[in-house]
Amino acid sequence: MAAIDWLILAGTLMTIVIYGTWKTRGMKNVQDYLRGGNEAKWWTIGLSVMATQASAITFLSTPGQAFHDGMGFVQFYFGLPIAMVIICVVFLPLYDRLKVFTAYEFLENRFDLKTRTLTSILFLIHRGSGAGITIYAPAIILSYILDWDLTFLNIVIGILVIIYTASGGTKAVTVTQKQQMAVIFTGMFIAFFVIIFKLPDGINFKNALEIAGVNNKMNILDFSFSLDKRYTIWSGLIGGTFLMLSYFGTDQSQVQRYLSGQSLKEMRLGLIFNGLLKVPMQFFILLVGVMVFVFYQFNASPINFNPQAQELVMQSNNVEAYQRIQDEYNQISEEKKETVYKYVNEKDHISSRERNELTSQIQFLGAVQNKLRGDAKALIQKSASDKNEKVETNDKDYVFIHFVLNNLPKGLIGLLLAVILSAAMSSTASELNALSSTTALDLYKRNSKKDLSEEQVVKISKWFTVLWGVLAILIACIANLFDNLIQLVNTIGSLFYGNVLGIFLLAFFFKKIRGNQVFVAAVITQVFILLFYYFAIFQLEQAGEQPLVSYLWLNFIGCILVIFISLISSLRDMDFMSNLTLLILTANLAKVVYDIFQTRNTHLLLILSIILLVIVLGWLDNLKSQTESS
Amino acid sequence: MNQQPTKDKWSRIYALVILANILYVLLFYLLMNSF
Repeated sequence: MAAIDWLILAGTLMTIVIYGTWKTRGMKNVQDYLRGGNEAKWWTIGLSVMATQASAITFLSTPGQAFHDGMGFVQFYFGLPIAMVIICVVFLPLYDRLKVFTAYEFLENRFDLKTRTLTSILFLIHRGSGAGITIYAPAIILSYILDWDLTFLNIVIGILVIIYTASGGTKAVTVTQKQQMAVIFTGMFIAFFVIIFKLPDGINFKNALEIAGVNNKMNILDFSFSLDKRYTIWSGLIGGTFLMLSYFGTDQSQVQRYLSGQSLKEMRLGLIFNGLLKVPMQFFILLVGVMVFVFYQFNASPINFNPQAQELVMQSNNVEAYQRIQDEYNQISEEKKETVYKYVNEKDHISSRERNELTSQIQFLGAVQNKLRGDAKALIQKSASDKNEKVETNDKDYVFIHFVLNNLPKGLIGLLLAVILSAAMSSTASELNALSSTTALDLYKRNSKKDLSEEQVVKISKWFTVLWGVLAILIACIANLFDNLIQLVNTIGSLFYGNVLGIFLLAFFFKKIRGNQVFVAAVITQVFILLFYYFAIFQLEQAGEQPLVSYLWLNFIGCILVIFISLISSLRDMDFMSNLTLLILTANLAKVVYDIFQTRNTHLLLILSIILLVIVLGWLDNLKSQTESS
Repeated sequence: MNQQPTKDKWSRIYALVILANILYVLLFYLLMNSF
């Protein structure tokens, strides 16, 4: 890396940290420290919410995802706008009316203290471990690719975040996120235009899209009902809505962002802003990845972008075999390049049959490339096994950063690294801020026998921020010692999210359900989900078998189960129609569980019908409460 | 009575968000079929 890159990288990050700390110094009251003085305008909230969700992995991994699998990943976000509208209509007015500091505070108001404490603890477990991984995930990639010391990088990212988050609280997080988003957008736009500029003469943006299309990278929408495919329009709309609803509606790291809004109107507009921009933003990041793919149609690329994997195989007995695969890959790439040129130059002057032939040829060569990539991966895996080492053979996280480091001009490399580290810092800051607020308010202050002054609460919150920050750094530093830790932490989120969302949905839509019922249901659900995960997913994966369901389905199962058990326990209070619906719901759930274990298949229609039935139940319950109260 | 127009306004804004996203999907569909 050149001196100018270091200067831009360090200058950008330090400016943000110093400005954020200076601008928000001397916070003394809780309102200022934990709700940012309720000064945030809608666009600040919108940017803050987006910056919290977009972690470094978004910018490292998403372009790589598009490079390999095309743009289908954008469908994952289709549920987000629906979730935004539901949160604006249902969640926000209640949070605003009760003037809560945390989402879990609302649950005490609606149910009881033990439900609030339980959900806070569930949040602290998964977000606390998640904060470490938010630092570790980009640090490990940058340490491999730039040969930086991993521990040093973890500590630097962590300390920079702790400085301004502990000092200025929510306001510092919001202020810095605006600048971080500015850096991120500037960097990504410049990267995009540089890629287009670097395409060979005669290849313009339209041609680039055509080349991507011929290579099946423009398959944005998938309407198939298959559950085997992770990203379809249906999984995005159904699974996505559930996931985004739990993330934006009940996760304090997001809730705290919009609670800092000036008024209900600003909060709503902030979320609407997110609902309008998120899909185009993800589309754009994926498009950058597709353009990187087009760039590598005309330029040589390694067969595997992970430098650690390359190094490992180069030092093994398989080096010659690997070199042969790389040579063959280069030869195929060269042939493909000629065919792509031919296609671009001749497509308008040849018959459709000839055009189809060229397309088929390109696709065939692409398939050969993929096969060779698979062979290379197998060889890397074999080399790793021979040496008793672990290595990530999936190189999607390394594609974009490889492009940046090898093709962007001096100065821009520093800017793009600032983009990645800014994204890591913005997410971590929101997480530490939320972890500290939840610990300070939901656990410490609520259970403290002493009457704490505002200044004391702020002081305690600051210390909790430092404590969670140090814990996150420690997790990031030891993460390397455990296999598949990133995967595990991602899974941990799914173990708790469904249950917590279910509790909130019960609070909003099932007026008659009381605290005790919810608490018991939540504890049973959590135990069930943990056992289900252990036996139906974890053990099978450890044995090298296919898990019964993808862990993402745990969100859905947890949510439905907690609602279901709460309803069962309030059965006596319900009318005939509700009982009937509950009976059908039980039959449906039994069928889903049976299908999972027997045929290893879950039917989308069945799941849809369960959702529909739960909605009917909620509606009936609400209707009855309204009639009774009037 | 005073709240009615405000509610209407919000409904329109929510409809706009959903509509915008439907338009994105349509645009993706067109893009997918053009390239």
